Amino acid sequence: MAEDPSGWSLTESDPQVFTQLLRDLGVKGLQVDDLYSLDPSTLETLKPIHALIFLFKYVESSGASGEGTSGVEVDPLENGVWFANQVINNSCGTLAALNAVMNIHPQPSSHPGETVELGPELDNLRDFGAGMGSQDLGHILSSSPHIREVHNSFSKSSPFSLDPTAFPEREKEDAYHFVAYLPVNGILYELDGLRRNPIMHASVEEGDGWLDIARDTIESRIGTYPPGSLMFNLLCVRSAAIPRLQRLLQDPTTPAEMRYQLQDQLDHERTKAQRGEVENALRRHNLLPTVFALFKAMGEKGLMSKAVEEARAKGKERKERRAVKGEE
Amino acid sequence: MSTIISVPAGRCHRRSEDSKWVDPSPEKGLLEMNLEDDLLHLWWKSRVTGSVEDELIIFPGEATFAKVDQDPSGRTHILKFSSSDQKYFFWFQRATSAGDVRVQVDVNALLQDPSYRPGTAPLPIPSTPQQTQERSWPPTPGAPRLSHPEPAPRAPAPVAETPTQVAGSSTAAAGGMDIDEGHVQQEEMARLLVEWAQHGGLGSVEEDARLTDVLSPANISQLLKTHPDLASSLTPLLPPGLSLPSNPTEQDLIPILTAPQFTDAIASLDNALRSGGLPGGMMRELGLPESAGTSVKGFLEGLIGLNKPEGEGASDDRMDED
Repeated sequence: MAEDPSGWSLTESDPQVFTQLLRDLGVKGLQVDDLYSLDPSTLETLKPIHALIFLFKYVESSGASGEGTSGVEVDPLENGVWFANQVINNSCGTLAALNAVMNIHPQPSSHPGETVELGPELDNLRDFGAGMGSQDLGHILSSSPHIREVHNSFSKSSPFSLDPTAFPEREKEDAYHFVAYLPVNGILYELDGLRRNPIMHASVEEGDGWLDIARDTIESRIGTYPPGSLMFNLLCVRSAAIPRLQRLLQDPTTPAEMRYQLQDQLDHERTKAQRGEVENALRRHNLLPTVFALFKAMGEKGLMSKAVEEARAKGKERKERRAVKGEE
Repeated sequence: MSTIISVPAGRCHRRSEDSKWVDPSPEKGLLEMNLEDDLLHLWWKSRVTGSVEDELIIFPGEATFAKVDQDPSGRTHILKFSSSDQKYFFWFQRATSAGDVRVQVDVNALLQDPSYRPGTAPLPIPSTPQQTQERSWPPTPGAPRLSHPEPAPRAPAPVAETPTQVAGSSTAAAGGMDIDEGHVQQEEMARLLVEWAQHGGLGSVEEDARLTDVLSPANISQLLKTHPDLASSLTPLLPPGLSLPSNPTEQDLIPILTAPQFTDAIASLDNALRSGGLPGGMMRELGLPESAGTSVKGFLEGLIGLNKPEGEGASDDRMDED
């Protein structure tokens, strides 16, 4: 199993990867964040939220039937939903992000940095694909050299293509499945590139009210799996936070009691963005020369024998644990 | 006025006044339905000229919209009035026929009830994916039908036999036919390899130590703390954009070198060495014997060999001092 024949490499499902991916595709004014909780106070600090991306995987691969969803399949074209099917491997995260943002309406703003827009590249893609079926849109996305390039740019740090069978932990990461939830024209949809059509859930009010319904929908979906059989993570696509926080802090009408909280949020966003930049720079760089240099230094400085001994002990332990597990 | 449905479709015309043959016209158009003053309008609009032609006002229940079974492509549909013998033919022009059934159901439902919301009526036939119908041979126990690591949502639930019994699948798939089989065999192969490795594998070549444990974040920190001079040689290997000061110290580098991306890169090196090895030339360039590229064990032994016995204890910065 060498290079994936599709030419799409596996990328991490990290919010910072998604944020940078959207930025590189020309999207303005959006960022992606982990959502650790769906309770109203958490959501309040993140608003406005435009879409949720639900990542999940079945712990027991044998039980994967995907029928945990409710709702009605509808034709995307007739309902004004932009929806592309996943037609190739390894693209599910990027596809879910695109299915989400292509349905987010541009939001002009007079404040710098707060305008939400898709940018020329994705606008063109949308115009070009107008009236096309989901399968065709999937093919258009997967054959776009720029999208593929941006997607692949996040997996440069390990130039050897990863063989999932050699990496039990890795394999689990790959088995994640991505589904976007968002409101389009007043209706909450579930966009799952591996299904033929979007799934219509319920009509929702203007504004942030859709999040309540999305939360119920996702929670009831989680509830259809036996406890412990599902691992999941939730991401949100939201308006870029830093420009808004900066503006509010500069605004003399912002009440003093809010300022501490806003400043905290701004500091948090800045730290996060900085860490994201570092991690993305590492993802986009061949790290092997550094790895080799570190290994060589370990060897030259005489630290290798001890480290190898310890690693062997750890490996044996792991093997024994696995053997016990295998006999169960 | 609001457009309820708009679907790319062309018209079909009778060959002659009373011919039973209809031919599709290539002109691109849209079949649209609108509600205007509570009246349902249906028209065909040319996508070339943009002009509306064939505008019809249809009362609820007056007409039906159905697929023409005689057309093998399945894309020709007929609008048929029960109150008269008017008939109109259309053919769907969307790039794929995947959504044709939904459009037909929606158009027909709207003709019966203008307050109908598209997408809400059930489809006549459950949309079973074709593959499940084509697969007549029994599902392989324990091997979910996945063509790649991402789960396919429609994968039929595997039968509840002992899920570990993959070996049995080889007989089931022996007469096999399609691409999935390759995957099953691959899975089986991987499993056999794991079993083989668990029982000792080649023994001497198999290495218990993982490179990610050898070059663990803790060991990297330790290395840099005891040898801060390494910082200057490591920095040029790192990418720009890390917001590092101009002459980073080991304290600046440790958080970067212990980032998860490094662990991933080390894991991929481990993987490469375990699954086929690396070119000897690459190892030579690193100052290692060529055998270091053949396995994890060889690599580690090569690295241990870098520490010359006579250099022990004084190997840090001073070399060949005598």
